[in-house]
Amino acid sequence: MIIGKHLSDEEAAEKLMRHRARWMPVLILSLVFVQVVTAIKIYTTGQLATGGWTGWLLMIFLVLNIVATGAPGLARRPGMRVYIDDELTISHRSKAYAIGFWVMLLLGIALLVTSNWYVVYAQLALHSVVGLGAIAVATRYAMLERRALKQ
Amino acid sequence: MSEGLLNSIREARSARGWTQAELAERVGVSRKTINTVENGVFVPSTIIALKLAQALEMPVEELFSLGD
Repeated sequence: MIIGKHLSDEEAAEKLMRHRARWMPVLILSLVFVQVVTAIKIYTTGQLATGGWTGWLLMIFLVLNIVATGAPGLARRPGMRVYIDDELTISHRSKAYAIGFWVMLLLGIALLVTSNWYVVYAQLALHSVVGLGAIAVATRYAMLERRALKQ
Repeated sequence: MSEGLLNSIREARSARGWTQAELAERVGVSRKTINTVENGVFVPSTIIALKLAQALEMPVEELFSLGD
């Protein structure tokens, strides 16, 4: 993302956060799409070839990288980090990770219980737990950040 | 207001003619943090509360008070 050099760090951070708030829903929807497509492939073929994981893993890495760092490539402008990664953002991140934890835990338990009656592919189970956990984290984070920017 | 914490940041900031962004820059937090603290959505840490009081040149107990 190109941030104008004429802007102060605070202004540049605000601009970046607004860009992020606009683009996060698109990224999350893309991740949901990739999650569904790969899950269908695993379900119908029994397993996903190594190459099939790449897009899914890249999407998860990108979305979680935004949650964890504020934005990719932020190291180029260290002064902005103070504003991007301030107390409120850290609080939002913690809340988002907590939701992700519960989603992963409950989904893991649900799949374990289901395996008593139905065959649950290990690959599909792990794919679902990781993917839906990441989606939950990103969605909660995006919602909290968007709400804070709107007020 | 969350956890019964009241604050007079908006009034103090407006009295100085500062925008949320200006106060944010003086305190070293994002504008959205100032915004959520002013609206009582976010309860700041002691460090941020002291930085706000310092920036606004007010005692922290004048800036923040406990609600009923």
